[in-house]
Amino acid sequence: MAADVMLSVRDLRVDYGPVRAVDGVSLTIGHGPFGLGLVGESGSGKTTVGRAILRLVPAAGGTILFEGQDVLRLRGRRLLEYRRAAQLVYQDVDNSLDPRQRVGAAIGEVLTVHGLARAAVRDRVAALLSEAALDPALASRYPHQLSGGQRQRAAIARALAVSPRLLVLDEPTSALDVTAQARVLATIRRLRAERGLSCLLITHNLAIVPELCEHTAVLYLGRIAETGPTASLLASPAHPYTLALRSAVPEVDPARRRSRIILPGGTQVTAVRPEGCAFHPRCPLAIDRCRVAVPELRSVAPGREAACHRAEEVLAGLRPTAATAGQLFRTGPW
Amino acid sequence: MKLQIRDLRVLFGDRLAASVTALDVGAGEIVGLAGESGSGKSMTIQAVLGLAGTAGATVTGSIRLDGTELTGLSPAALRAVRGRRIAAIFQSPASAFNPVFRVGVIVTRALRLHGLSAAEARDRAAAAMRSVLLPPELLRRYPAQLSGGQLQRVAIALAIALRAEVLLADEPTSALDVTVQAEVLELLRELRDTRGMAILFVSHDLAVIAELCDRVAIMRSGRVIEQGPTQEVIAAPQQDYTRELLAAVPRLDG
Repeated sequence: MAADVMLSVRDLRVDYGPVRAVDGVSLTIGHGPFGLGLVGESGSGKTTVGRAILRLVPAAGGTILFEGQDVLRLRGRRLLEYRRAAQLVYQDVDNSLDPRQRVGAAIGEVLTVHGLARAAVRDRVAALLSEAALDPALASRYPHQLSGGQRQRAAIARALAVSPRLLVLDEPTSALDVTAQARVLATIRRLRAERGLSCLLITHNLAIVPELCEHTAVLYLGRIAETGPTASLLASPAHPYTLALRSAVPEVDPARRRSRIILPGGTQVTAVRPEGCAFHPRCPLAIDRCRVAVPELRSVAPGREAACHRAEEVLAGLRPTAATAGQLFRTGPW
Repeated sequence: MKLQIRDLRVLFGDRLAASVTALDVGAGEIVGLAGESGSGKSMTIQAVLGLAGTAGATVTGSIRLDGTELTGLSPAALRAVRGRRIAAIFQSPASAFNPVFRVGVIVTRALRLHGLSAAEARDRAAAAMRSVLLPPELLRRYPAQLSGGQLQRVAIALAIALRAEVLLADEPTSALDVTVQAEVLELLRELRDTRGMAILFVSHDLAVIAELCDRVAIMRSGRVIEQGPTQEVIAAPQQDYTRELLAAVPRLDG
């Protein structure tokens, strides 16, 4: 294993009853400061991947190596150590803090459980809050007395209390308005640099990925559709799904707006995967082959992998037209 | 003017929740109301719906629909307007539908309350579902059996079925995936263009406003601080706060 790899996920599978939520996902996260973006719609399995990495849902198969240790076999003290090293920040800021517990107590509790002397707790809590760009005086407040952005910062401060090396950020800003989102992302970016953190950023919004992530993986129905360095993946997607995700990002500047690809139908999470490429029922570029043959994830350019029969054409500039995408397609700028 | 707001003030005690001096929404027009949480956008919508008073606020000023004053209407007169002529969709479509009823029951009941026969209500609900690109069979599902995007479209279908002239949309896409958001925005444009609906669209995201709205009003701490044609406000914002909102929009090129 390369020295710069912190977490290596190979062929991960997770089942919920008859539904295979994650189906052969492989990811690599480097030592910090480093960020990997895991992008997909609701039902793509992105949250499940994050939870499987943290051992919060059982894996049905595959391997997860964290600094060389087999995560899926960790038990007892070693599992506890792993759970300190890898922390989760949830989307739902309203429910990730106990409403009856003051913010300072919520963070202090973590410190005490992990063995910090009580006398030192108050100072440490204040330091953690400042690190997350919060006024230490907020320690005496209850969660409902904070704004959504402040609550998310408090949750980040609590995650930092055990000095993790990996942060799994599951839609950390999607409950926030864009102003609060920008501030929280800037804080995470600063912490990433100061603490040398590795981040796994789970999101449906491609636009927030460049802020934190050098590398991006796009997930569709439990499989990787495309992966590569964020800048090159966003500049020239190799998978039609990435094209669609990119086109869905709203743009302030009319000159920069792209033709919007509307994906009909939404992700269908069912026990039965579509034949051939799972994306073909919604794909505006699907050809006959896509309906019968499952595309393997393969190298399509230096550092880039995609699971699409037409990846080379898409990379070379193939785009859906109104004719191939039907009435749901709208060309821009309008 | 379809919807005309003048000197609207919403007060909780002596605390000003929203103050809108002048805001118009014409037929076939989408007007954006932008600002952070707590800026008074939603309270403005609640006032137009006649719900701010119910929440304990004092509402003064004028809200006119086609020239007819809505403030001070009796509850019965207001009910005839709200829902039928002025429809609303909200951030969380799941909480807009009673979870124990099939969505079709909720939709047809609303239509019957506004005077349609059972057969008319069924037909119109099915037609409205098709116009939001959903199969009418989904009306037999319970809210929990539909996705967030589907539920939001059912909520829009209800507005269409009622032949609403004004649609108040309070952060209707903030809880949705960007791909689903793109679909819903497309649908709202269609309502404007083909049905001539007047839409008041509330959002914290200026990128969404920029893509959708013909005009925009920026709100901060309860007050409208800037308004104008969207392209002009975006290209040459007059207020620092508007520039801050613009700078906060995440960009694909980092």
